[in-house]
Amino acid sequence: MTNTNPKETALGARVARMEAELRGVLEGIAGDIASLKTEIASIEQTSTGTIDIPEAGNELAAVVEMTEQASHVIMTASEAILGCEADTLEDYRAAVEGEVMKIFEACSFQDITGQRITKVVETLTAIESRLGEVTSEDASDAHPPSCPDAHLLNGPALPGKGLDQGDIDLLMTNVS
Amino acid sequence: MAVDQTMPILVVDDYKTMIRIIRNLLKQLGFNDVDEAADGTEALQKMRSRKYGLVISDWNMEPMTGYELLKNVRGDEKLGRTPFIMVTAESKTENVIAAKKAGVNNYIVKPFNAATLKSKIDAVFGE
Repeated sequence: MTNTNPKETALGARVARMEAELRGVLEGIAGDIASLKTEIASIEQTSTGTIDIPEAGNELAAVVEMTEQASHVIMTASEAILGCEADTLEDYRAAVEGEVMKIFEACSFQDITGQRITKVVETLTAIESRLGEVTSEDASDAHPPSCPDAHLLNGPALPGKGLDQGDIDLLMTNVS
Repeated sequence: MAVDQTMPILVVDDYKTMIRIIRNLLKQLGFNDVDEAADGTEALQKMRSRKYGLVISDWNMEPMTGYELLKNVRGDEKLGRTPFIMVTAESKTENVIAAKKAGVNNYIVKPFNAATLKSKIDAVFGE
């Protein structure tokens, strides 16, 4: 049965119009969410020179591991010095110097861990910058200055991923 | 060619701790004349005012990297023959190949020990 009441007809038309408007608003919000997801997904791809978030976690894990190893070497060498017994002063000196060399070598962890932490900080800074762009609250496009060999600057490799000294020696011999 | 332990050595690294480590390791190996620079630019300035027997340089430094320093040294008529060892955490194949092609004499990956440093210095001077 067709509704012929003019008031009801007008009300129905108004509801239909509101539905269409609401659908348009919701579609707009859905579009905004989709583009926001795309923007967030592109953060890692466009942040040249940085690493992705899972890799940042691996870098920090490597820092913890290397710090622990260095502490172990330093403490072991220190204990060896404290417990050092030698027949002559010369032997004593040689033994202590050997242990001190191990301490020097172990202290190089500061350089490597520093580079790893720098990578993580650069990643966080890049993410912060891109999020600022996405929300338009901070549209600054601050990228670090690049140097001619920027493509070769990767920092320390994760354990088991880079070349070791033996591999490098081989390359040095074979590359002309 | 025997290694001359009296030769001046220039250590280039932006990490003060690493410079101290290399300086101390060199001292233990008998090298006492060690200068230092914090990046490639400072190293070049020092190399132009003093003749060094060996340069030991990190790669990742600003504003001038060790790789750029190496290319500058090899392209300089007066400095071009200075022995150059790269000591770096950069351990990718492309890094080693690029450094070798740019004229590096040896390449040490960090972390390293005194024995490695000694063997690479010996190798550079043909011992």
